[in-house]
Amino acid sequence: MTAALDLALVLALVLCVASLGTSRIGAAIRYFSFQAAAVAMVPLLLDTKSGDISPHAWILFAMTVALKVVGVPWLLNRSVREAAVRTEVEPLIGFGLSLAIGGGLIALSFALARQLPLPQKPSSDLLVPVAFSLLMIGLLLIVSRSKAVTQVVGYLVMENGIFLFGLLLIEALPYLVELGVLLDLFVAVFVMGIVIFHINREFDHIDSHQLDSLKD
Amino acid sequence: MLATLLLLPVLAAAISLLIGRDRARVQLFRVVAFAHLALVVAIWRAPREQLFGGYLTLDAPGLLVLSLASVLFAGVAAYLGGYLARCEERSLRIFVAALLVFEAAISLVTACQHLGLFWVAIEAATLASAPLLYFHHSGRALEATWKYLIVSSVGVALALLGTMFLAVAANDASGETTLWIRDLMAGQKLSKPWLHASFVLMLVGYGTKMGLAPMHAWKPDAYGEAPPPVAALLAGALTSCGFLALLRMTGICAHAGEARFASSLLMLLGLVSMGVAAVFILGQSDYRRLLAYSSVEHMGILVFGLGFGVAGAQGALLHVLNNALNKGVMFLAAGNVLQLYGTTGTARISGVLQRAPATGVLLLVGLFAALGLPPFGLFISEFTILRAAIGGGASAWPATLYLVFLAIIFLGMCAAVLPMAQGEGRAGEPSIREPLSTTLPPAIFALGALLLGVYVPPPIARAIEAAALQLGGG
Repeated sequence: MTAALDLALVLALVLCVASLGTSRIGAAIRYFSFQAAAVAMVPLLLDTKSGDISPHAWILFAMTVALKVVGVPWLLNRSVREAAVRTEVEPLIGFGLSLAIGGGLIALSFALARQLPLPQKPSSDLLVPVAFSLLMIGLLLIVSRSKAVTQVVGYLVMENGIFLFGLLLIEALPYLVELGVLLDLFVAVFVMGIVIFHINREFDHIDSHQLDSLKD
Repeated sequence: MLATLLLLPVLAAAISLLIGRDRARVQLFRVVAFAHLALVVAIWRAPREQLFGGYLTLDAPGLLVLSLASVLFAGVAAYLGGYLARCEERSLRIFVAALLVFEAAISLVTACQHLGLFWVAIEAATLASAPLLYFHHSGRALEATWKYLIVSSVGVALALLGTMFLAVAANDASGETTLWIRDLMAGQKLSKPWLHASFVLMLVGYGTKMGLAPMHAWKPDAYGEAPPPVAALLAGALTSCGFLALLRMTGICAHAGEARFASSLLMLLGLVSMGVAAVFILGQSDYRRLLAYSSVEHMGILVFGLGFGVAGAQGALLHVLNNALNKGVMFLAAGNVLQLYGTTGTARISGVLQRAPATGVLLLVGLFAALGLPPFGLFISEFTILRAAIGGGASAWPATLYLVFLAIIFLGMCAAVLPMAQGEGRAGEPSIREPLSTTLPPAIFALGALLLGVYVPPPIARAIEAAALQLGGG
């Protein structure tokens, strides 16, 4: 199991880095949906006390696939189509530099994970560092990209990181909370999609950095 | 009763989506908001009630925040009809439904006794408020909505990570963990490094929700562009939910013997917020953005107060009530000004007292209350916090800085608002009589803020004391 688990985690990390390096928004959304698929596998691969996969893990898997692998990319693709944007033209930080910073953040994540020892050893030593990496790279995407859609992708990558971290607590947290979190995420993306649609109609572009008439 | 309180607005939201007439929708919101208020009053008198095996129950701090939110919603509901009557025609289908869901979500936040569920509720409240910001459908409103969504989503995501860190901190040898507030406050053993990291993340996350500097970037835009009644709800009710989160987290830290760690961070962030507010209030040229920075200031005062143990928390809890009422007065008055002058730019407004005497008086009363002049409640709460800061026996610096920032803000606010209220109106503009619906609700809020300055009703005083005692440590 551990080998498969490590593979899924590494895959998620690689896809995350890939979304940092691409200039095409369509590709970024596709990388995200593959990444979500890799992340969705993780609850099924974790070690459990009984050795069987719990119904809880199956529910998480199903919800993640339905919402993040299918639902959210569909919503995002739709708003991209309606807004007729294809590429991230001028990121605030160039793609090369983004990748370099991303590498630094991954190193930082591994260092950070060592600093915070877990009470119980997780199924894979990669779980926590990969979770932190996704979180930080997601943040990097949000602050360094100028298209509203790419910022949403960044938010989603960040959210995937938090999801992975949350799997440490899979046996401790009630369903209610996890379902609530996933549902909130979906509604958030839905609302953001609507706003993107309006931004496009209002400004004929979805460049959030041209949204700068409000300042002191 | 609690179940009715939570379900009523949701049900009404569904009805509001179905019915066809906007006037009926506004009427529905009014009825529901007042029914909500009546239920809250009934809950004050009834014994504590638990739902879903204790996931939802109203403890003292929750009940306080719920009450202030309910009062604000009722006031805004009374005000809204008069305000919308003078706005451009626009379908209220989504707007009223979002308002009702927002009220339900905020009520849910105050009742959550499980930190995971608390997070779900506060995120739901944020999402429900997004369509409210965008009501006027202008480019600027859109920009404000986007900033609000992305900044608060990131903030709230960090708070979620903080919540998970807390669950890891509470992990005991058997692998069991808990996010129940009562367990975390009752001697659950917490791992120190994880608790520290969790507190920092929650402070940043829920601090974003409150609009503490330096996470306040969304606030001036959101409050400056949202319809003023909506801004009143955001500044009074939603920020108070963020405060509730930090109050609970500070209590958890205190019980784990980490009160000092929490205090120093809260104090620091409180002073930074007050300082940033002071800088931006000086020379601010828009009344609503001024109010946003004033909100940053008062949020700073709240967390500053939380940094000084039980005494400080008592002040902060009183302050959260006062601040909500005061923001109600100021934003609703701002709404009247906006409709009279078509702008809230301070340079283009003068002689409000002459042109619209009622709103002019409300502007001044709101200003004096916000500045913490006696006999308003904010004077008492700010003074209580100051006493706690001096009595703490630690360094004199925090209390000194607190006073300096208050003084600068005093000058800045006066310089901006007094010329609006006084001065000559433009020639040939007769003074007008405003409808009662747009002047009475803010006047009642003002009366409330005044009342809390001279007399805190015993049940409220008891609730404040009980809530503050949670910070007493184990």
